[in-house]
Amino acid sequence: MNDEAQPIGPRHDGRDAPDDSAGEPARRSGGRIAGVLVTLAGLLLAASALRPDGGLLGAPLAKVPVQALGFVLLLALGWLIAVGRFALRFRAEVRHLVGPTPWAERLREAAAVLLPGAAVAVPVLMFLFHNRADTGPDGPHRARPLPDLDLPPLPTVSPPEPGEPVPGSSLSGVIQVLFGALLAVLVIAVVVGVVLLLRLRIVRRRPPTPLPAAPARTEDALAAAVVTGRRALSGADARAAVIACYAAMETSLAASGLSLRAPDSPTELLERAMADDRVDPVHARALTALFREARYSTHPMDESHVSRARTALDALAGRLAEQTAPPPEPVTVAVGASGAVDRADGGHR
Amino acid sequence: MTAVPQAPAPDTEQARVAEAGPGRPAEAAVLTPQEAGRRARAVVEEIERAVVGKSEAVRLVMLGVLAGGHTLIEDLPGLGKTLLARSFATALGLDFRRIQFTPDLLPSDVTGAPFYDRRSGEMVFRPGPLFTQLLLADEINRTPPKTQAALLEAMAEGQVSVDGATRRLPQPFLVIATANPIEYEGTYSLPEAQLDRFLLRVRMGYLSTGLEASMLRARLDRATPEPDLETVSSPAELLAMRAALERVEVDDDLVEYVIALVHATRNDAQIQVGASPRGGLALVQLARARAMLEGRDYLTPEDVKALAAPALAHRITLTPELWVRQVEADEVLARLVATVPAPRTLPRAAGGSESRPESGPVDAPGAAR
Repeated sequence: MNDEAQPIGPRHDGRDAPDDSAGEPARRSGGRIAGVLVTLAGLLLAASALRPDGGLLGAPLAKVPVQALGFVLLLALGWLIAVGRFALRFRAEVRHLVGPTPWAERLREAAAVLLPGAAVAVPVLMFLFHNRADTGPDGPHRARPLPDLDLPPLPTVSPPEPGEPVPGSSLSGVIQVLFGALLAVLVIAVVVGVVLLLRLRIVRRRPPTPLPAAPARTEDALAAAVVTGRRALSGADARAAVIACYAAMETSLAASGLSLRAPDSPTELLERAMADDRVDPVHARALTALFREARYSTHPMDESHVSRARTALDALAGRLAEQTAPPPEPVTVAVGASGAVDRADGGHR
Repeated sequence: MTAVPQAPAPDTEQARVAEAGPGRPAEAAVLTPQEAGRRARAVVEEIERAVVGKSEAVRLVMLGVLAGGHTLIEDLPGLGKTLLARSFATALGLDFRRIQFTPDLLPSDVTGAPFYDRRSGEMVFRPGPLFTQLLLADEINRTPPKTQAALLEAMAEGQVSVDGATRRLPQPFLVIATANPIEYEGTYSLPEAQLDRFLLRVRMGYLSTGLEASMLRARLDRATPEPDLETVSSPAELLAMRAALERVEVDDDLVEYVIALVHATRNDAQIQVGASPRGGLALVQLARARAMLEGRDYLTPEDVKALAAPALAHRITLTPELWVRQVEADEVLARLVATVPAPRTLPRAAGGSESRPESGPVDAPGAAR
């Protein structure tokens, strides 16, 4: 499984590497921290500024238009940096991915278009709504075009009572609700994008159909496999016995670290096993040939086949156990042939 | 085109050879798959004396011959395609004809045409070069579709209809066609319907430098243009080998595996048109032939995997993007073969169908007892 995933990792690194080597890493990380700070500050300040009744700090900051504009600018800048960066990364990541379904492909296309759009559209919308919100709280309606021009800024405007609806604040409330909804939709879009990206990457990294992992302890798995193979060998059906022997060999191989893959044919598994010098090639080949005959033909199978399968399994499991697990216990189980049978059968019955 | 004597003139040797197959099936000994495989290997070894270093291509063509189908060899000129076809004809003792396809070739040049016999005053059919046992259709994609289509009936049905009369072709009838993969001006790429009639497609490829040197050395040592091959088989024996192929048994799980592979070609995003049902049939027959050539009378997953690309790659149509990116059908099929799950270790009947290795050995004894 690891060697399946490996070629993908370096490719990502390779794609990112030119960026790192082109710019100075220190400047780059500094820029990143600055971006995060700007975004955070923008969010905090803008959140306070956009509250018409005084903001987070309790001061009526929102009443000063220049400051409010600055906060909105900050927020817009932060959003542009954060979402813009994410959109660029997203596009770079998914450009070469082939989705598992056509639906996922379309979703990916849509996300690749919507994310940059959101990065630009939200700041623009913020400026639009910001102007309206600015004029909103002071003027009751549009009928009065410039209500604040001749009035000096009121230093002690008492915040409106919660229960008492002010005509201007109702408009700003609507705008806030709209803005909140827009923000929520965009957040959901970003989350969907992230989830989609992760899923696509997981799908790509997953090997064809991973088979369940072998039992945790190698020695246990090995001993269990040999015991099971032997129990099958003592049965009356020679064909099932040979097949079970091979299955035991598969399990032993899996326990010793050779992964089993669903698309593998017996020979492919054998070839991969032979690359491992812990596997005895002669016996592995013999057992595989016996298995193929038992599994895919209707030839009559007799005691000679079973005894050959038993010999091969003994030799294989013995060598695997020797080389995989130094502790003496599994070696005796695997190598001590008749003892293992007796113990296994005795324990079984 | 020269006239080819055929059934109405039984005193020629070729016609007798042609009749020997279907006419006397009882005389050819009934072969077991193992025995047929042994004789087929003898043929392959004989051919490999002439065709050096192309053992994979020779074996694949032999599988096509055993499975009773036609072979398309797609490769550049000068790679030994004609030598390969002629060696098969010699080693198998088959009557051999070659048609060089050209843009001005007419269907009647291939199938034959009636002509006026002045002595009898009647129209007499003069058979074309198609009436043979092994036909080498050289550069088949250089002829217009009309002439290509004249081959269709012959390849699919083993018969030719000319002038209202249907004539049987001699048995066995094999076509080995060659096609140039490079898009020339003046080539007509084979339509899918025609491609589908070829049982398998083989690519020869260049020899490695060492093999090419030994090929040249062999030619210099021999001091003759081509080695003399011996006839080690006969048309009747070839038919008996084909009959033995039918005794190669196929497990149900392997049938399902073949179907899964064929379905995978139909559902893959990179493939526009998947393999036809005929593709599944071809895959099974070729895999059986491989089993027989290896001396087995039962099919294994390895047989199916080894033949998936030769049997199916020319039957699928890739999406245009891949065509632009020059991804080959062989590569797409190799990916499918590497992803479609093979039959599990335990047969379905034993009850271990759900999981392969980890619960397999645990369940097996219970099923066995």
